[in-house]
Amino acid sequence: MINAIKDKLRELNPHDFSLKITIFFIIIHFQEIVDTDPLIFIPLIILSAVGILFNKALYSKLYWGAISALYFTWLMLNWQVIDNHMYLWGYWLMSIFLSLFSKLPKKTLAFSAQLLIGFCMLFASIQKLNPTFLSGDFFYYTLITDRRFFFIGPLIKFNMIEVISENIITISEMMSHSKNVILNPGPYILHPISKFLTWYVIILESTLAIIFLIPRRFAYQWQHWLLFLFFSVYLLLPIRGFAFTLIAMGTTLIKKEDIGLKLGYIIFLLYMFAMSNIVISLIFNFTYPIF
Amino acid sequence: MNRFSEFLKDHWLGLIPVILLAFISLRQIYLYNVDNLSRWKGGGFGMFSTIDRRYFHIHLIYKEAIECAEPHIEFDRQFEKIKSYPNYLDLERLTKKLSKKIWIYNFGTKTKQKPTSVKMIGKNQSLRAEDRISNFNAIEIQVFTVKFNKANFTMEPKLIRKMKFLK
Repeated sequence: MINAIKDKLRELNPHDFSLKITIFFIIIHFQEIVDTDPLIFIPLIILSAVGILFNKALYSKLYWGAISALYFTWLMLNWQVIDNHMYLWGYWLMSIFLSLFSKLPKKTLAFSAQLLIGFCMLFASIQKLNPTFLSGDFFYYTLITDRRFFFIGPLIKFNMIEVISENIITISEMMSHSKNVILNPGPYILHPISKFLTWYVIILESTLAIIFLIPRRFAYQWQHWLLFLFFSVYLLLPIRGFAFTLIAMGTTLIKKEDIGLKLGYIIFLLYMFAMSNIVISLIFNFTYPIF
Repeated sequence: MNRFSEFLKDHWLGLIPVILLAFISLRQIYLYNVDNLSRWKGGGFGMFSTIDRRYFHIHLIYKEAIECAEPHIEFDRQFEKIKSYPNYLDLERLTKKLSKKIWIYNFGTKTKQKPTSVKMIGKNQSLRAEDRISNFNAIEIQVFTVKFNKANFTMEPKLIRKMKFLK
């Protein structure tokens, strides 16, 4: 059984796998928002389904050209409100399309993937060099107002849901009346936690930027393991869109013989796709029943 | 150097998306600094880098009296865009559009005597006999962000842009 899995992993071509998961992500990710722009997303999802059914389409310039054109139309029409990882997804689709014009498509795509991750992390680090972020204020504010960070509560044995809910009501009051309000600060331990998160994120992102901007042969293993470390953020904070983009790009950078890394990406992919919500719910129900 | 230029010769196409990424990110940083584009939006990878909770107010003005108004759901996307990037041209277009709409008084459920706010009649909605139209000679949109002070845990609204349109 183990040997059969190993053989399958050995046969798996990272480039082909990356193209397939790109198509798969379009189907599962964009069908959730299909009603926002049906004229763009319905053809996009249908085209992606064609790619799943007919393998040859994945190597067609026309196919990726059509997908990229539809995606960039949506991006240009809504550029002010689209999240940053959606831009990254657009650059990725464009990279796949352009790589098909190259003599060595796999190498060209891997070159794009590496630089896209590097520059994305570089700009993310540059944007964080502001007083609000560096002082820890940003993460402090986020911990006491953002429901996505509820998982901190069970870890510090404090009912953060109550603090966050109270602050959301206070902020809503501030917005209606445009007056100053005082937020519930929560427990003191949030100060060191916010400082830790601040420096963890900025060090990790800037290291990723450096590692991905140096040639692959000097830092092959480092690139993947640091990317996995970055993925660890998503174990508790499942922002699927960004994680999917990084998985698709990271997969292209794996050497064909590297079955360990292939397995790592597949496990993380399965976790993000099928298990993240269940795991979070199970862990924190067990640790501290505040739900 | 020779090896590098040969590599580039074979793979220069792979650089195009990267150049686009860098160009859009630099444009986002520029617009954030000079024209109030949200750091979270616009392709500059500034998510999770700063506090940026934006909101807007609509005021219907009639002879110096101001009434707060709520837009119809059909304008949701346009207001999302305005919140992220309140540039003057889009604000002007939006206020002009809103000034052509019919606005009616919204009465609370408890007291039917006093109106609580003013709301917009949507494209597919029609006026009812009991509706009272709100008259106005100017409409104003204000876009705010917030400032958080960790020293005393206060949050204060900060007006970033406003636009008034005379009917």
